[in-house]
Amino acid sequence: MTMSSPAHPDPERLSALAEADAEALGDRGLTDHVAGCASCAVQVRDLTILRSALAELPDRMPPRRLQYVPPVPQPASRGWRVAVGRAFAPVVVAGMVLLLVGGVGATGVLGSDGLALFDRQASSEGAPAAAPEYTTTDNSSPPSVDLGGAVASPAARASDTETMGSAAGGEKSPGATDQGELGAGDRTLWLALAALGLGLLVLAFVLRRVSASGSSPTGRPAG
Amino acid sequence: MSDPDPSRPSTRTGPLADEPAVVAAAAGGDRTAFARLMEHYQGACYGLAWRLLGDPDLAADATQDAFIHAYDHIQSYRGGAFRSWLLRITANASYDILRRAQRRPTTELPDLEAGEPDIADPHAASPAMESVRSELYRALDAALRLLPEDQRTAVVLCDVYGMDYQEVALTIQSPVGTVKSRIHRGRLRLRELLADQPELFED
Repeated sequence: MTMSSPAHPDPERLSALAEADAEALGDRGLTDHVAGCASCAVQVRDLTILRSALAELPDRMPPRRLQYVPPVPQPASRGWRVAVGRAFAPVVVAGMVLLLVGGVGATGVLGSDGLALFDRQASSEGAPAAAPEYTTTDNSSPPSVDLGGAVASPAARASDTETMGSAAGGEKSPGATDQGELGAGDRTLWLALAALGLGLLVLAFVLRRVSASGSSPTGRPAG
Repeated sequence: MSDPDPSRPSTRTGPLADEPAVVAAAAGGDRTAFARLMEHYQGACYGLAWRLLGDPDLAADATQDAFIHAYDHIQSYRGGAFRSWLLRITANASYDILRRAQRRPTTELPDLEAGEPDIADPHAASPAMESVRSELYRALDAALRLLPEDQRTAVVLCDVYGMDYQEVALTIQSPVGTVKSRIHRGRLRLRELLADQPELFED
């Protein structure tokens, strides 16, 4: 037992006794001393009362309104952002494909030779075996290729005319179609496809930027 | 939810009548249930933070931090008294603020008399007795503020809020022996500081 003086125990031991600390209660020398010492007994009693008073100190209300739960993101404003995020990649891919196809078509690779190739292949399948090459531009003799309607007919015919014309020795037949008018129409179609692709790309990036800048933080409130 | 009124009488908050159900709902993600718990215990949490920090704004910040921490970790609550669990979180939040403040230049605790509301006594039987009790509580809080910070923290956590030595040691990250010593020295110092309040020590 630590003693602050030969006569009295260490005050910290009295404090331990005041809170009924098991170890202090078991210290026979301490309890015997307090039982016979009025000064130490008063100290233990005061400390006991002090502990009771401290345990009764009431709660206090905060001086300002506190936020009981953290804020949550607004579901309505979040929904379209999620949709934009999910649709971004497919729309970009579609836009790039349209832009590529339209660009290539407009520069003539598919617009003339490419479609002509299709047309020639189809024609060779549908024409009699005895006729190795066409010598006229009679539209009724070889079956035209069905490329899905809208794109196939004028382009195929124009290409067909050109190819067959060159096959015949470069002379223009009397019944030949006007290549210039149909070529311009085709190019417009391809350009429209390319423009549509470009528009999709721009739209996708603009929407993504708007959704990213408009998202609100959902962090914890300031303390 | 009403705005808190600092002048409103505040007592020691007991558990809600349907507390287990409310806590279970809050743990299941019911924000309304969680808000109800925090509203109910805000006086207890703020009181602890205020006694540890001695500053109303810092105490409100600590209480707010504790609410957020409790919201994030309520699923780790494993039963027992919810008030004690929340008070431990508040004590940790307050002690974090205290440690940050210690790394900055020392500031004096504000005067208790400046702008602090009186505390009503929940046990007073008459207005006169309530007044006496209120004065005693004010004297106790004023004396607590005069303790060295390490003793004040230990005494507040142990004697005012009923934490055992182990809980206090965990909160202030000190050995149990150190905690005991701080508590005992703090009590003895309090007794000296309150020597001019003889009514406190009357039976």
